This record gives sequence, C-alpha cells and structure tokens, in this order.
Amino acid sequence: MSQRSSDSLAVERWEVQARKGVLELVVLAALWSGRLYGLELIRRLEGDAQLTVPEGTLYPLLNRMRAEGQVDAEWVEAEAGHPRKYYRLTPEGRRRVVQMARFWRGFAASIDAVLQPVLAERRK
Amino acid sequence: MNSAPAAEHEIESYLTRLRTSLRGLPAEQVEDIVREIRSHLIESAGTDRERLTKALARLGDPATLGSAYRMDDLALRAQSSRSPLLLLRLVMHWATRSLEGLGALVVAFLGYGTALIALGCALFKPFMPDRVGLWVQRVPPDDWSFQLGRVATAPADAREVLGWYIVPLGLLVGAIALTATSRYLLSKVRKFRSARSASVVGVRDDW
Repeated sequence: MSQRSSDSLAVERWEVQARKGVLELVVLAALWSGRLYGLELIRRLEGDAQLTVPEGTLYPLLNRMRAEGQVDAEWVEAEAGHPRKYYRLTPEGRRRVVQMARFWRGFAASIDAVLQPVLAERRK
Repeated sequence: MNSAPAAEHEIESYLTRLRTSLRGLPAEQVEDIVREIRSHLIESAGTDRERLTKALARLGDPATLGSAYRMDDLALRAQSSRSPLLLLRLVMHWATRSLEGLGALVVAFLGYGTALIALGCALFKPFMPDRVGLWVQRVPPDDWSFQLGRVATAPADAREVLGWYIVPLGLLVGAIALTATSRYLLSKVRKFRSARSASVVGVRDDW
C-alpha cells in the first residue's frame, strides 16, 4: 500500500471516530424547533447543514431515543395519503441537547485554538 | 409497462425480509417499525423505480437494519435489568463482529464462571458438608495439588482446608466476581452502542 493511501485510510478511520456521538447531538438539535418525520429530518440536515445521515442508522437511532425518553413519536395521517411518524423532543431531550450544545461550543473553540498554527502554516 | 405495482412489490418484499429479521421483538413494535420504513420508502421514491433503488440502497440490507433494532432492544433491556444472561447474549453477538467483542466474551466467561463456582460452593456446603470444599494434597517430592468444589468422594489423604469458611468466602468472592463482570460488560455495552450509532454522519457528497 502506498504511503498516501495508507494515510488517507488512517484519516478516514479517524473521521469515523470523530463523528461518533455527534449523530445524537445533530438529530436532537434538528428537532429543536418542532416535530419532524424521518425523511424530513434527513432532508433538513442535508439542506441546512450539508450533513448526511444514512437512513439505516437514523431510524434505529430514533427508535432508541424514543425508548430512552429523549423524543416522543406520533403517527399523523398526511394529506399525501400515507401516515407519517413524527418525532418531537421531550423535556428531557431538550435538556440533554442544551447540555450537549454547550459542551460542543467550548470544545470546538478549544480545538480551533489548537489548530490555528497548523492551518496558518499551510496557508503560507 | 406500469411501474407502480412493480415498485410496490419491491417495497413489500424488502419489508417482508425486514419483518423476518425483526423476529423476537414485540409484535406491536415490529409493525410500528415496518410501517415507518414503508412510509419512508413511499415518500422518498413513490413509484419511481430508480429512486426506489437508491432509497433501498441507503437503508441497507434488511437483515442488517433489523439486527440494529434488535441489538438496541437487547442492549436496552440488558442495561436496565443488569441481567447477566442478557449481557452474555449481547456480548455473544458482539463477539461475532469484533476482536474486542471476543475479548469481552472471554472476560464474561471467566468472570461469570468464577462467580458460579464460588456461589455454588457456598450454597452446596450446608447440604453436603463432606463433599464440598478445598482439598490440598501433597504430591511428593515437592508439589501440591488442589481440588475445589463439589466432589463425588473426598479425595483420600488430602486435607480440606477451608471448612465452613467456604460459605462466607464463596458468597463474597461470588458476589464480587458477579458484580465486577456485570459492571465491566455494561461499560462495554455503552461503548459498543456509541460505536454503532457512530456509523457515520457524513458530509454531503452528491448521491
């Protein structure tokens, strides 16, 4: 394996690690301003934040969050003719996402500070 | 050719396979999941075969999707009940997927095995005091052999060294092994679950 491809493989592996846990934050945050159904949630994340969440991951996650009491779900008959399952934050989910968002802000700022010399060097 | 019935057929065949892989979950939950995935597929593809193919690919293999739901359910029950049996079942699934899971399974067997032997000694001692114990035997010239547990007949010319102390000692060691193993496995469950849910928030590239 060439040096370059082994480098990019290592970075890829690191990226997967870095994305761990972010998923929960991202999904809870997307539900902040109101109820959404699965596909709507996916489109919201893609449209607003350029983030893709595979459906095969999202639906089990929503199911788990409901079992853990962070979101509520209800079936609504849509005009489209088929029912949709809407999710909304519970008070516990709201508290959780506020805590996560606060942590993320501080964390991101610290990382930015550390990265400054690395990125400044590259610009030269 | 009318593609609507074909698309519908493809959706239902996916859902049938999903339903099969959800076996073991409460029927009500299975129907709820299937209904949600059906709604997702109809909404994202309608009767357009090409879009349906993409949507199905993004959902992934129905067996994998179903097992994600089942594992979550098992993990949730294991976490809330702390039942060694559920924890063991979960780790056995995990062991088929990763080296770390295999390691956890070995620890689980050793830990729960120790607990079983220790508690077994403590519980059987009152009923068969002569046949439960720790025997030490000198093997000339300078070796020793140990035998712990329940024996058919007490070994000849060996000395039983614990006596009735085996009861409190067995209970203590058993309880510690049981709790420590369960706590270790629970910490692994949390790790396992966050690793799974991590399977990727991507940055959009066109699909």
